[in-house]
Amino acid sequence: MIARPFNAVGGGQSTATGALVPSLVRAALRGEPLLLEGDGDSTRAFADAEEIAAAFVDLLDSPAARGAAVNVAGRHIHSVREVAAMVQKIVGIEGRVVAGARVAPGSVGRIAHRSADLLRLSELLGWVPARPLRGRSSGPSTPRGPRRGARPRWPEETRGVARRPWGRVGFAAAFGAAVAAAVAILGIFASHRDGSWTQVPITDCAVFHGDALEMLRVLRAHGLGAFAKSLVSVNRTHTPLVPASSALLMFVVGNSRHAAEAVLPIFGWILFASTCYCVERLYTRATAVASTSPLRDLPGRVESLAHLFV
Amino acid sequence: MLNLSRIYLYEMPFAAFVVAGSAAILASDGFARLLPTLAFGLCAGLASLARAGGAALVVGPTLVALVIALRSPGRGRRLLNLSLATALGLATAAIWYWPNWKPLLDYIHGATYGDQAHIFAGGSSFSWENAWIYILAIVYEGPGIPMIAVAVIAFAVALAKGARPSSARP
Repeated sequence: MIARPFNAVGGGQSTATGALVPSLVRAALRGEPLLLEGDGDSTRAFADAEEIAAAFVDLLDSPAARGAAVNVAGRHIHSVREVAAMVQKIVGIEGRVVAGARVAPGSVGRIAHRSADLLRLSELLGWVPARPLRGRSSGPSTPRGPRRGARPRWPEETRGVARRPWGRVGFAAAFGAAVAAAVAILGIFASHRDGSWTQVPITDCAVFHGDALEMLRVLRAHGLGAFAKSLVSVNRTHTPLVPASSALLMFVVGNSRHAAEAVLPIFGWILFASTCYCVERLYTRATAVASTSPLRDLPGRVESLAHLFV
Repeated sequence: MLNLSRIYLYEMPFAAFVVAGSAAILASDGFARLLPTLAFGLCAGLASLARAGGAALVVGPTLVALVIALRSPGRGRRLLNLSLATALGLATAAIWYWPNWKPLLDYIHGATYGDQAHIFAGGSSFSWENAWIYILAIVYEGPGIPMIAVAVIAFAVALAKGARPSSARP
């Protein structure tokens, strides 16, 4: 098997070989001008060194890769000038960018554009290096590349150069937001129509809401110390975190049932963000957004509609 | 979220802390990093304070992560971090459970699984009659019919893809 690595970027990278990113970083840190070979418009496919290493390991483990020649590169294409701008922003030093520096004989700077066809890598591994240049880690650590043996999630994105890496993520997010907004409007309309905001809560809910009101009373009358004690004593058979959160919310924004119940959407967003993070760690960001938006929200929205109108 | 905001129940915060704890496990790189590991312990404790017995759902992911971590280098450091996180979680949960363990135990034995079980289901707790009621409850009050439909479709698609011969790959 022949693996062809393209432009790798990683912690501890030496400037001895003339690698672009460490050379620019060193120049920026020293306050020197950032010298770009050629006009600065030449492009490269950058990949995180950890992901390239993970791809090597996975290729060695893959029986189908035997005898194959495989490109190992990142999906993200940047011009040299863009990379210089990134370095300036991250380092926080406004250095001078000088394009048109002399190109050494035989230098890769003579190659205007270099990217890789990643179809074979995608088919063999089910993933390709996709960590963006700006979001890559600062040093070696446990690789957190995509799951081994996974099949391609978005195969068309891995064919050749992915020109719109945020295309599917953006579409999934917009889709989820549009559905959420539509149902929110319908929900507000229906709630006001039937006056459900002012309905008396069901019995159990009234008990829990009563706990929150009692904690709020203690907090206002006796302060935080007494409030902490009330966490233990207000209800000895049901745990105190939710009523206590409601009490604190009502303490901050005023006593109302809306304020008390706002604790649920707030925790809902924590749940949503945590779910997104877990899926992203195990798969990719695109999978996280695409799966959590339609799969988590859409069925719930449809069910909400059924409750509202049936 | 709007429909949930009209129901004052504990499941949403509980689920939030359980999933946040799972996220912390992932962020800890097999309990190798101290702060995410402590965050996991805190989330487990808060999950227990959000709903009685909540920590039970954190045990599974913890054991899986622990087994994976024990196969990796730095076993001692990982175990130490996890021990600290466990202590933090227990200390957090103990704020309420320690002074209230007896009333809670009486409540669980009485209201939920004991003499009053027929109020919540059809008969005594562990019977075939109630098993069916529990399944229906999971469908209607748990993931919901739309989510189950999505899961069935996803399962069918996965089966169809898995059944393809491997020679389909070039």
